[in-house]
Formats: sequence, C-alpha cells, structure tokens
Amino acid sequence: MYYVGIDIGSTASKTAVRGDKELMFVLPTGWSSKETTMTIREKLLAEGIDVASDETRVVATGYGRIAVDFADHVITEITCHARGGREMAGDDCTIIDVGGQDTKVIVVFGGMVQDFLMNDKCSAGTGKFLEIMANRLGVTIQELFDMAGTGEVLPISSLCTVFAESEVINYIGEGKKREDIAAGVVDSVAAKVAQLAGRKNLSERIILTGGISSSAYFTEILSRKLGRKVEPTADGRFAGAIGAALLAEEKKKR
Amino acid sequence: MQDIQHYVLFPNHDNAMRLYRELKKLGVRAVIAPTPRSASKCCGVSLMVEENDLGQIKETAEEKEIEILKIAEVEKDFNPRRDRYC
Amino acid sequence: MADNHKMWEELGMNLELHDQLCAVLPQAVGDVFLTQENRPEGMDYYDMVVADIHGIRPSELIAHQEKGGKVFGTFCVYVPDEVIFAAGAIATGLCGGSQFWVPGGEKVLPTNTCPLIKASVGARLDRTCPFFRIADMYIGETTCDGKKKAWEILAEDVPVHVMDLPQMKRAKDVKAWAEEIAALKNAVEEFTGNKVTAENLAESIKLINHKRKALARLYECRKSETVPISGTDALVISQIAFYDDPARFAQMTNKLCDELEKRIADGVSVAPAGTKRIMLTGTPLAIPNWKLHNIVETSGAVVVCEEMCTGTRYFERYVDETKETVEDQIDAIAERYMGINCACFTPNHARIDDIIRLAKEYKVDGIIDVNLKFCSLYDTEGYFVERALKEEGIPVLGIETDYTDSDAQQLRTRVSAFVEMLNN
Repeated sequence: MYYVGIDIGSTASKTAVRGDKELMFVLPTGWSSKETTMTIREKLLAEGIDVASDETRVVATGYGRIAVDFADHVITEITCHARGGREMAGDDCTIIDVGGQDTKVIVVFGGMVQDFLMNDKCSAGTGKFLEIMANRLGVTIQELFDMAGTGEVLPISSLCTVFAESEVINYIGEGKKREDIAAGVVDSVAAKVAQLAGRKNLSERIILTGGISSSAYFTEILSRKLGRKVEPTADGRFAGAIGAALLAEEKKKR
Repeated sequence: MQDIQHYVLFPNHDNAMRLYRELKKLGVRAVIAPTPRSASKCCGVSLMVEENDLGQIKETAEEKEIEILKIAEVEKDFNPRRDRYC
Repeated sequence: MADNHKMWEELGMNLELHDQLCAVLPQAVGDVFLTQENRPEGMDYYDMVVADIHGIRPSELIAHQEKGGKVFGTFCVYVPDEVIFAAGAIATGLCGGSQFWVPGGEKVLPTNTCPLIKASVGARLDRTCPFFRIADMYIGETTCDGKKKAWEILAEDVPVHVMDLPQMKRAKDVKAWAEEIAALKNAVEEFTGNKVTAENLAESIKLINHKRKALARLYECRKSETVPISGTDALVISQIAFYDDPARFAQMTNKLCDELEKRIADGVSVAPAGTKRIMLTGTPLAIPNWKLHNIVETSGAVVVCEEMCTGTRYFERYVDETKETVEDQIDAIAERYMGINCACFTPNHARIDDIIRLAKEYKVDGIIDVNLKFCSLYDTEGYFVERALKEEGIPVLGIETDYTDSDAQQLRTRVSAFVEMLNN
C-alpha cells in the first residue's frame, strides 16, 4: 500500500508518501493548483505510484486541496499539520506554522487538536511578508536570513505589509545597510508570529513548521520574543503532507 | 435536457403564489425562486418546475385564470460552495 | 416585475445602481437556499419574501402611507416597536447586510467603520434600497460611537429621532431608558398625529409578544436532537422578522412550527445523526448576510442557534402584558428591553451567562464567536467569551469578517478545521 499526502500550499506544494515506499518532494504551486496537481500525479506515477489504484490512498490538504480531484479524503491543513507535528514532537505539542499565505498556531493535546488560531486576512507575519521584503532587497529568502544574521535590527513598526514595505524603501533610500534592514524584516515577522502564538495556551514543546522551519536563526529570535523555546524542524515544511499521508493510512478508502 | 431548469415567470407575486398553491394541491413539484437574471431583468417571484409537468402547469394556469408571463429555460447553475454572496 | 420598477422610480431610487443588486440576488439565493435538501415546506413563504424582497413588503408600506399612515425605520433591537405600532404606524428594520451598499457609506464614513453602519448609510445616500426610501422617520440609538455619528450624517437627509441608550444597567439606567421610551412616544405621537393610549399600547405589546413567541417556538424546535430546519433557513426567518407585518409573520412562523414539530415527532432531520451542532455568537447578521451559515452548513456542521440581534437577543423574554396605564406599560417595556445583553453595556457578564445557558439548551458542540470587522465592542468582549467558554470546556472559534466574499476560502479552512476538531 501507498499512503500519499499532498499539501497544496499558496507558494509550495508538498508531497509525502508512506507505506511500501517512503518519498517526499516539493514543487512550486505556480499559478494553477490544478496543473501542479497533475504534475504531482505524473511524478508519483514515474515512481510507480498510481493514485487511481486501489493500492494507493490519497489525502489532500492545504489552500488548494479542492484541486486534488483524485484525493480519497480532503482534510484541512490544521488537522494535517497537527498530525504531522505529533509525529515530530509527540502527542502534546504546539505547532507554529509560518506558511506562504497564513500563519497557524495549533495546540495538540493527547494527540488531538485542542485549539488553533490563524492570522487574519493580513499577510504580515507570514511567508508572504518575507517574500515581498526579500524581493525588495533583491535577494532570496535564504539570503535574507543569512544577511539578517550579521545585521543589527532596524525597527519596522508597521502592522501592515504594504506600509512595512514603504518603511523598507525608506531605509534603502537612506542608505542603510542591507544586513540591518534584513535583520529588521526577520525581527518584525518573528514579533508578529509571537504575538499570534501568545494568544493561546502553549504546550511544553513548541515546534516550527513551514518553509522556514529549519532556520535555527529564526526559531532563536522567535523563542526570545515568545519567552518560550521554539524548536526548528528539519522536515517541517512537509509537516502538512506527512500528516496527510498518516491520515491516509488511518482513514478508510473512500 | 438534464442541465436545463424551467422557470415559470409571472407579472406579479400574486399570480405566482396562486399557481404555486394550485400545483401543490395537484402534487406537482414547484419551487419558489427569484427570477433568474438571464430570464428577465426584472426581479420577482417565479417558480422552478420540471419539464415533464409543463403541460399540466399551463393547463392549470389557464383553468384557474392565472396569468403567466413566459416559461424560461435557464442552464442549471446552483453551487452551494460558490461563495458569491450579495 | 414591471410594477416594481415603477414603484422604485417613484421612490426616487437610483435604478441603474440598484439593478446591480437585483442582478446578483437570484444566484446567491439559489446557491445558498435552493441547493439545500429536505427543506420544510413552510419555507415557501419566506422564499417568496426573499424572491421579491424589494417589491412585496415595500408596496405594502406604501399602501399604508397612501392611507395616511407613517413608517418608521429602525436599526436596533433596543428600539421598542410597541410604541410605534401603538400610534398606528409601522416599524421596519433598516439593517444593511450587503457589501453592495458599503462603498456608498465609505464616501462619507471612515473606512474603519463596521460594515453594518457603512451599508446602512450607503443604502440611504445612494438611494438603492426601497425601505430606506420609504421610511418617513428613522429611529436611531446610541449603541456605539459609529452609529451615533452616522445618525448626524443621515439626519441631513431624513428626519432622525435618536434614543439615548444607557451603557450600564443600574436601576437609574432602566429608569432613564423608560424616559427615553416616553420621549419616543411623544415624538411618534407628534409625527403621526395619533395618541398612544393604554388600550392601543396594550394591543401592540400583545402583537409584538406574539411575534416573539413564534420565534421562540421556532428556536425551541432547533433545540431538538432531530434538526428539523437548517440554520440557514432559520437565519433568514429571523432576518425577515425585522421587516414583515408582525401578525402575518407570527402566523406564517407558527404554521412552519406546526410542520417542524411534526418533523421532530417523525424524526425527520436535515442533518445526519451526529452532525456537530454549532452556535454563533456576536454581532448581527443583517439580511442578506448569509455567508457564515452557508460556510458552516456546507462544511459538515449545522447551526442550531444564534446568540445575536438576528437571533435570541431579538425575541427572548416578553413585555409584561398586565399593566394598565401608559406609564406602567412603558416601565414594563423598558424592563424587557434593558434585559437584552449587548456588548455596548459595561459590565456585561449577563451576556456570558446567556451564551453558556444557550450552549446547554441547544446542546451545542462548538461555538463560533463572530465579529463584524471594526466592531470594537464585540471584538473586545470576545476575550471574556472565549475565556468563559474554555472554562466550561466548550470549544470556541473566533472569527472576524465583513460582507466581502474575499475571505470565504480562509473562513472555509478555519470552519472546516474547527468541525474536524469537533469530530475527532
């Protein structure tokens, strides 16, 4: 049997396979989650995994989950992240997921989702914010983090991404060091994520998932802001997909 | 013709409701609905009916002197998850 | 219907703009209501009202005016309809629940005003709602800062009488509200030329209580394990209650309840056994705001109660019918209305008690606390609501939204995740 979890995020689409074969890969979502879904299907087939077969169970999650028309089950990213997070940090944990479009805080207790929170429509405190600011500074998100590590934090006080971008433009105009601006950007995201997470009763263990989950630099800043230890995770960006694959295994075939 | 919905349009809601009640007595299926945009620019009460019942509906209207404006054919296109509210 | 266009034209409406609203209504009603399965037959009346919402009732109000009667437009469940009907006038709700009216309101109001106020002002100033055109006088109240200032803007366009609602519930505040009701009586008498007497006030107290009892009966049906009616259908009934003729509304709702009670006896449910029961709490859902109910009920749950102005706050508790003088009747009215628990009061513990009581009565599995964007009162009170529910062990999801469609996908994710959480 193959158990396939597909997490169509706003920026990246993650696939995780469990069972007779273990496999993980990520693709950019691009402009059409439908097309990305087709590509995933073909990639799986090239690996000998036919999603249409009775030997395969598929759970789709993420913002584009409805586009996965061959899924046996469609489950929200909250439930899938919680399942994936449990696998990484145990039955009592809090998962902070900084995604491309939204940021989630999920409290898992006794293996069940006990509470969760997502940011509002606003993109501040999400991967989107990092992406926009990295673009503005002419670097990749990875480079932004690398630069930030050597800079001094310049304050970015705006709560709104659009206004924050103006602040960054002002700093660029004033000839401030890119490293310092980058440090300010990362600091601002961490502050907003910490503010969101601070609204919930957090568990003893807190892990970071999502595209920047492996960054020890970010978790360090986030831990400081939150006053609690937040652990980075190596496969954190696959947390949703892994959770979906696990749920595929635990649910019955449709 | 599965994807076509038939609507009976009326000059006013009185006629619509009178026919609705008559059809109900006869056990003919009719659903009260706002007149679809593609059938008429004027909003108001119309009845969604089955194609097979059209003959009986017209007869009933004539017999009971209920004024019908027209019978419109509209593509079936309701989707509870469309998320287009007004 | 050609008749409607003539009427709208005579009301001085902006037909071209209004037509944009007419254009989207049939699709939205089809998507939200007509796709539901196994609806009670008695919904046919409300389907008719909605299908011609800017035609049927407006023409009745105009007929009333042609006979010399007055129409008062109201915005809030604290405004006592009893006084208005006693003077032979008609009270009609003027709640704006559509994004369509919001840009018109934003022309004169700050963007960070709640959509309900923006839509109400926009509907009047853009001349795109017949009810807002028909009303001879608006009755405002001082429930929040946004509304207080909005009345001043509206008063430049239409006569407005503002009632000063107290913000606390001490004995002297109830007395102050009785004085405001007496002032409303005087204003209504002067405007209509009709006296409010102990006889006609007693009659209208009975009339409005009768309507409340019909709604209470509807909600009683929703407490059943068998779910005889969807939350979406129940919501539109609550919304129509604000506009419709009270006697006819009560009659039609009681008729529907006969059917619902039979459904309960026969075990006819619109939701499979075990479907999670959701209560919504918070800010009102004015017609045609159906977004949240639609999302919840197409995400595998069912809405069984609304602790909202378009819900329990509107009908719970009755005005004492035994009083014999106008003065005593007004005191009784004040007593009943001051028992409504709105976030505009401080402190407002009784609302928290209401929510916990309702959660038990309606056997809810989870609560969605809804805040209309920029309503700082309900938003702030959400802190206490969430805390109290946590203490009670009732799962709660806080949601902030407005009238736009743009957050529907995000709302679907949150609501579906909440339902998944309840199902686990």
